[in-house]
Amino acid sequence: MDTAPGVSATHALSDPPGVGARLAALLQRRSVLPTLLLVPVLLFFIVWNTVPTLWLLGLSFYRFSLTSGRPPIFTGFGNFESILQDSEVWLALSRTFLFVILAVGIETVLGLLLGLLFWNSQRLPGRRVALTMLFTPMVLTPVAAGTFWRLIYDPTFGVLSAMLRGLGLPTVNFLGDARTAFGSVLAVDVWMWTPFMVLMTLAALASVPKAELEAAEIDRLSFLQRLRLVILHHGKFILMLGILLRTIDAFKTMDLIYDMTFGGPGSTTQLVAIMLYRRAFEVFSMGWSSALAVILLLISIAFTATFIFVLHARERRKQDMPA
Amino acid sequence: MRSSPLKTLLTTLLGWIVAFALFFPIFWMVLTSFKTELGAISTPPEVFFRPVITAYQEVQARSNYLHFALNSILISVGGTLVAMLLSIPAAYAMAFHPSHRTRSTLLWMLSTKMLPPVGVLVPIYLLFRTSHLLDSRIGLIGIYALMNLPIVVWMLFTFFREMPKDILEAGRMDGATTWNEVVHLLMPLTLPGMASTALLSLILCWNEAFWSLNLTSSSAAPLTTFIASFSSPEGLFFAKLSAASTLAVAPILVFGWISQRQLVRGLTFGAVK
Repeated sequence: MDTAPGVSATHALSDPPGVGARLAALLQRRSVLPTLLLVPVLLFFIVWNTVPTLWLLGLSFYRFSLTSGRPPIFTGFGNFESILQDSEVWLALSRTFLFVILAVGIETVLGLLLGLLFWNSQRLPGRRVALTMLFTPMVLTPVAAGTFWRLIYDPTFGVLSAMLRGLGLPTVNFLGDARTAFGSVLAVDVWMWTPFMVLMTLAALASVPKAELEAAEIDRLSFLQRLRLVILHHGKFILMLGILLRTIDAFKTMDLIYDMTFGGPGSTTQLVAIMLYRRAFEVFSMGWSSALAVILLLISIAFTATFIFVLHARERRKQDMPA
Repeated sequence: MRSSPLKTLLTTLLGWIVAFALFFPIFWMVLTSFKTELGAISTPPEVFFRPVITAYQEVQARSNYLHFALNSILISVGGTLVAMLLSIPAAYAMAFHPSHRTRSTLLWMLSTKMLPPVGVLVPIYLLFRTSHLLDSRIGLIGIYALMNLPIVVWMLFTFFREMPKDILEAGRMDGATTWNEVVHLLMPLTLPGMASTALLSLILCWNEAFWSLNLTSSSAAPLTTFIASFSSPEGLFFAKLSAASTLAVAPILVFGWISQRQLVRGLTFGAVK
């Protein structure tokens, strides 16, 4: 920042004076250029995102059905009240929280373990091929994955049932049985996204200075100590970013379930995003759905803000400490 | 890290078992796609059989695969390009000239990713209808770019911020203008990071289903619509569904495999301090 006047002065001297030079000098002032650079992205966001979100917010105060053809009726907080009193919403919300906690938790733990496994086997035959196979689920299209998992889970002809039969176990109607549907859907999510957490773990491990890893080796720290004191200490930020991204995505899981169970059987796999979709496009109650969407948005923002605040606070504490 | 041969053997074995287990469903899908419809549902499942391509022929006969594939490619590349072009300047500005608003701007961008897309479907749908963007590639490119903007900005921001400040300082000492700084220092040094960001964005675009299913019908429909058209209406035709799934994921899978080194290295580079 403090170099700015100097830079613009030299610039003005070397150029012939004129509008162009003055413009260049203005751009060299460090505060103008960054703002200008941000403008396109902000404009894009406002047109495509802020406008629809405000629209949504407005709609959430109306009773409005897409099919009835009647004009929207203003109901104030009516939609919100009806949502808060709707036990189905609370069920879907708690189911979603359970899904997010289990999915992200399992993915993080498995990702950490597998990441460490593959980090420690760096010079082993076929590591690259094994890693490639490991990462593949992450790249797959969820809609397609849902489709072929439905085939795999099929109680009569699916390969998983065939394996169970081969082991002499009773077959399970994975997606059709209310007791197993939630777990089966969860398993597919874990299968798809554990690779992502492996990747984040590997990235986090790469950020640990080699000397410290060696020192930990020499000091004969136990596995858990090494994990906590060395690896998590350095790779925390990357891992946290991974967890944050996964949590946001898991919260709105839709594609996978849309294809495998569409919320059923009963409503055992009805996460809140699916519920929103069904209410909006099967029942066509737009105002109600918009209000629910607003609530979801608020939950997500609150979560992220807390998360980032905690991360930020820790970072600041680290900076305050002498190196 | 040094370890005993036995431990090495065990980790290798374990690693391979896990990799195979995770890969098995995909392997099985491809295998099933080369069976006859009858062979696909035989019990116990066939592992050795004479591969046929009837399932693929039937899929192709019902819908023109190349049309959907071309749409997927155009829309994914387009969306990624737009997102990158918008994000690079923004990430640059925030990484190198942070203001007190930088953090909240980043947070705000990320927060837009949290809204379940179904929440804004109606406004966007109406917006699309009035501006005649329904079932158009341009419309989807815009949506995809927006969808990936937050992640792209965040990743680029991280990569830019990891860049050693001394190099930029040195450049400035030598009288480099902002333009020179960007072209001769920043671009070459962060190229791997930018490449891996673009790769990630491409993959996300390719796999997106919600918007493509709701905003396109035929002329701009990508492969996610293609697979969905096979998924629901009729019964479970194992071979045909497997063939359709394989066709839908094959291009991005091969692409991912080819660029995996870049993808992983890029992410790791971003992590190294």
